[in-house]
Amino acid sequence: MIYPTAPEALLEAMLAAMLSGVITGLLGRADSRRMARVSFAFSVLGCALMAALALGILLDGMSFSLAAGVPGGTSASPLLAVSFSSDPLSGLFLFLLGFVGGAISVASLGYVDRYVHERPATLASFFALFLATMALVVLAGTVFAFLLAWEAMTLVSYFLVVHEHSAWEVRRAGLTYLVMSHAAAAAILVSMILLSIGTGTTSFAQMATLAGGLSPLVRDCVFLAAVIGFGTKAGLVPFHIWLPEAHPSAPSNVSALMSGVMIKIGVFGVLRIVFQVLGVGPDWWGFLLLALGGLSAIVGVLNAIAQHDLKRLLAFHSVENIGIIFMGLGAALVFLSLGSSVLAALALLAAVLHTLNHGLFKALLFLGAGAVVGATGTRDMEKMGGVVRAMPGVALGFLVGAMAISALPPFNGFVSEWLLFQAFFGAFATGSLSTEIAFTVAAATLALASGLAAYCFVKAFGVTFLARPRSSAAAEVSEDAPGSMRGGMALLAGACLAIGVVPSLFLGLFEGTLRELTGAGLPSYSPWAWLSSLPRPAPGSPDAGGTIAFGIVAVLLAVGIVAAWGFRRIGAKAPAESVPMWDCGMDAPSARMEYTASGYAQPMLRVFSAFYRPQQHSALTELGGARPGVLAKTQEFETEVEYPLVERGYNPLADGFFSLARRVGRLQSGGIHAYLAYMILTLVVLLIAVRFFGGVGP
Amino acid sequence: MALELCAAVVLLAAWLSLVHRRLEAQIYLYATQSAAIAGIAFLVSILYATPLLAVTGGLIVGLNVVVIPWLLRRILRDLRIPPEINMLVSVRMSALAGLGCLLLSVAVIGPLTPLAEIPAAGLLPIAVTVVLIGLFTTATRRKAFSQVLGILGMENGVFLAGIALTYGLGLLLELGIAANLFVLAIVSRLFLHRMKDTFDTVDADVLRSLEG
Amino acid sequence: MTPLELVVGVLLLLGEFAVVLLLSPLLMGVIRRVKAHSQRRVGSPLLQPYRELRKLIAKDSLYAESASFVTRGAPWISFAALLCAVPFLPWFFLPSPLGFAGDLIVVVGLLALSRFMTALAALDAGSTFGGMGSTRDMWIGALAEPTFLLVIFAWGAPAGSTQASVIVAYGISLGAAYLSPALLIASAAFFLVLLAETGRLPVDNPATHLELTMVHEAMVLEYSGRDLALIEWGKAVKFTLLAGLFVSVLVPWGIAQSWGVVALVLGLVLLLVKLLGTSWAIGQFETRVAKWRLFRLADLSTLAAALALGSIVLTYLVGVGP
Repeated sequence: MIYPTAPEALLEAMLAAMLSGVITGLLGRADSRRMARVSFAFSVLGCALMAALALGILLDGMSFSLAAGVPGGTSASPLLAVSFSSDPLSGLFLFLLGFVGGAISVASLGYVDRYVHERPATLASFFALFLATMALVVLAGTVFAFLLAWEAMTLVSYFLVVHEHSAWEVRRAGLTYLVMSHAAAAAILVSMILLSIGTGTTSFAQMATLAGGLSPLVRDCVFLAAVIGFGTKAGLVPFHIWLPEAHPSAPSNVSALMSGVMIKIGVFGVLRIVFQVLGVGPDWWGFLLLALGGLSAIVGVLNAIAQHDLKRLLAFHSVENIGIIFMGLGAALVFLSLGSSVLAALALLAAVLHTLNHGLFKALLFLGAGAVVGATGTRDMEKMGGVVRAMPGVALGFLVGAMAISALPPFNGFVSEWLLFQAFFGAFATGSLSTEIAFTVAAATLALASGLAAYCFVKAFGVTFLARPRSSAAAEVSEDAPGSMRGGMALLAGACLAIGVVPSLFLGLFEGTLRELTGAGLPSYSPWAWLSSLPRPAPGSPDAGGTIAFGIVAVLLAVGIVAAWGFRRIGAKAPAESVPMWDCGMDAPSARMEYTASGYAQPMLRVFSAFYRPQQHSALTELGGARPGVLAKTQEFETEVEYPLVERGYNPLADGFFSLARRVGRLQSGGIHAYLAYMILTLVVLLIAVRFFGGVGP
Repeated sequence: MALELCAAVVLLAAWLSLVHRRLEAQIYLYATQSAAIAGIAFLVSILYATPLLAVTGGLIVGLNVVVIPWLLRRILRDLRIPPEINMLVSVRMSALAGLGCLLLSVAVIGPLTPLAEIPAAGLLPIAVTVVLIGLFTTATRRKAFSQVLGILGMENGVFLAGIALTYGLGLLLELGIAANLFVLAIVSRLFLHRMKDTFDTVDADVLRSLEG
Repeated sequence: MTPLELVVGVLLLLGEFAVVLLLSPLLMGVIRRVKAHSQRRVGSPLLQPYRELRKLIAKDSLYAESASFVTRGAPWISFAALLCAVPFLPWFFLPSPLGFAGDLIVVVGLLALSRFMTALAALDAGSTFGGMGSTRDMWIGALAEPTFLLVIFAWGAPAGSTQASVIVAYGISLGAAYLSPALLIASAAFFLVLLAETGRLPVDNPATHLELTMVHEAMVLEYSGRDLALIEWGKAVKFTLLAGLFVSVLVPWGIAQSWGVVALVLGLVLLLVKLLGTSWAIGQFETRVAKWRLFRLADLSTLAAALALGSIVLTYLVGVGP
């Protein structure tokens, strides 16, 4: 025990800080920037305490269990028992929340101050509340506590999404989000009720020991309901449609928090219910998650490529990365069902590490996007460009995030994807052809997704930050983002680099979770940043998997860069000169001749036209004259991309619901007699039900 | 090792013929594939001391590697068939279909591999894959000429399967198949010639409209 | 590890870098020479690429006015990323001193890093050609990457490792039985990846000077002087890396298994022969194919991916070796 305080004290201090944040935000006027700053400062404090608590749980063996809430709840009505307790899994997600949330809170100090014009104090207040509710979800020890915190989290995030509710699209996005979230909550409720009824308890810890005795059918139902419910929250295809609407609509610090942390709570839910409570299942569970994950990865990244709204692009990348995480989860489940806990631990490590990593770089990217969007006043990339000169700090941060999410060494995204590739490669040790083929295809999918992500982020960074300004708004950007914002981004970028260079320093955070969920520990690694994937019996060779020393790669890279820089500099005659760009003999190429975001995406639209179904419209107004069709006055060209899932999947569903609602609506005749009749009818039905199904009476 | 090399060439040639659009290249691929099969025949005849197979190998070199490609090229030239193949299925789908054929034959024939007389190099599943690919080619090409190429590929596959299963079928059977093929080639040549003269085309789709 | 071994190890490591750095322009020269020869032209001298590098090194670098720090930094980072992959590949001896520090997946990552930087720099100045080259190059790279991964899996599955040195050592130990159909087909797929990644025909024409058809050349239009030298050299190094990997896995024999002098010299000579042979083959191949339309490259990469996956299926079926 290194910590001077008890975990309960830390927890209470954290909650107190968050509560202070909530209250200070509400105390003053809604547009008071000072109150907003104070509130965010409390959020920073709360997050720091949260991270400290998490480290205590993960590294120091702290634990606590608080039964609280409803008076006499445990004895009178076990269903309503509320308890909050800690285990390695909750510690891990608490750390993610504390660190990423803390960095975003730091950045919010400056972001809200400069770029948010509507009710900053209210935003700060809800922000703190959002952080607190997420912490409670992670720490919930019983079904009731979980659902309570979950609903609170969803509602608070809804209010954050519709913060700028004067715009119609924002309200619409909020509605989509609310509806999808409630469908998800219903699915989660089903899975938890099935579990509670089957095991007779509502405590997750007790469920975990009893759930093995459930019938396979019930277990399958619980699994499917949990995947639908938590998958919706996480943004898994085909339940992801709310995500690309809600994330861009929210203020950018909220998008960062939602994309960086909140959707990971969905991953947390799967880990809690499927891995911890249900445990080992049939192999199709794993293959299902693998397939959905692969689908999400590809659908997410392909959609992202077609976007020219910067924040929407980032939102689709969240779908992609959630897909990668679920591929890891699926692989772990398959390995568990094959009885190979070592490989399962490797796959799970890849998944949870990627969860953390994505939290870091996606928050970083959203903060960077927030700064640019705030400075230029538009989310349309086609109107940006050239911002790098005015905002070098933000550009550098965004670049780090872009490289990390594209899985380039020496950043953290590469580490988790390397581990995932190794886990897939582990299929060759299982000796089953179907697993081998499935995992090989999964590896190719992952490689394709990361290649496409690199493509997309060259586009995103290049079009947003580089070249010359494409609009007057972009040309007028004159100063870098506020210091606190760059500070928050630097924290995240530093973490991305640190995990990429010395991942072994951070692996201790995951050990407890891996042991608890798979029974096997970490792959062998040595503290000076080198990691071997596995001790594995390979046919004809005693050697094992793959080994890598991320630190050495990084050092080599650094040495190489210095050497190349030296080669570039030493003995060079004159300082480098700036000249006009090569114009190919034409005069003065303007910014309109630059490659646009849509132009950049065009090759992909061609190749994957079956996916995008691009619709092209062109309109030509002619100058007239002697020969029609020769001289064009104006020409317009437009490409649209279809969203078949929404158009053919969700819209008919929604229409169905509406027509059902209309039919039900006819019951509401408005006449008093009709309502009285309904009441009598209800009473009669209830009485009959009690008589025959209630088990009351003789 | 050489056996493996030849087997790989056979499979690779079949696969490439699925995706290559130029008829001329298709003929080369067929010749290469046949040469590799002849190589397998020679190797097996040495390794398993079956001199008869060497004779068959020689026959293949003569017929499949030299005569038939020469004949096909002449047809190509004489009938002025357009050099590019008109495919019913996109190149990408064809490449994946090759994979599908391989997967199917591995799934179905894989367990039988130990039954083959020559289990080395997975000759049997490769042979079945080649047959399936030939079938696919025949089914998805529009022109009679490229359909003939598909049939020739199938025949190569059948022959390879024969080697894998029984050190080669009896010489008689070999001769039978080879002769058959020869006849087929000639007949198709004449037939095509006649059709071209009569209808000005050998496009199967156009020919179908002539039915009835 | 004794101090002597340490010194020898460091020297050998430097030797690997030196071989790749010094040899790579020669390979470019060989390809050009072979192409010229088979097209009945005289062609440029074998050592022309070295002279071009010397010429570029002597010149000053100029930057476009609209260029940012990305343009200035990209050439070194891109070059360094390629160099970084050198110790992870088998060259002329095993075990490589730093061979444990990265496997082939890391090599894929480093190639991607290098490509990412050059593609970004191409967008920096804001020229239309830069954007065109950038999007095409990233596009080709994104389509080649899955196949590369599949090939790594196909090569690595029998050896049970994604480490290049382990795969090669395994191959040497098996002898002739190592050359299974699976390996050969995977290598054929890798050959296609090599063509795509290094911008050879039919993917990109390294000799073209028509802007609209260029990929790589369009990206580096804004570069000059030593930056351009680094980029051109980097291109040659990238070719050497992939060609080296190709021959080492396909024909692993001759790579020194110990750090003995005779074995090392033999390994070096054989490496030279293998690399020159590959360059000759590429030159011959390039003479015989035309550049493909850009969008047909998707067919090529699908074929490569299908072949690679097929080879994994075969790996399972045939088993490897006796």
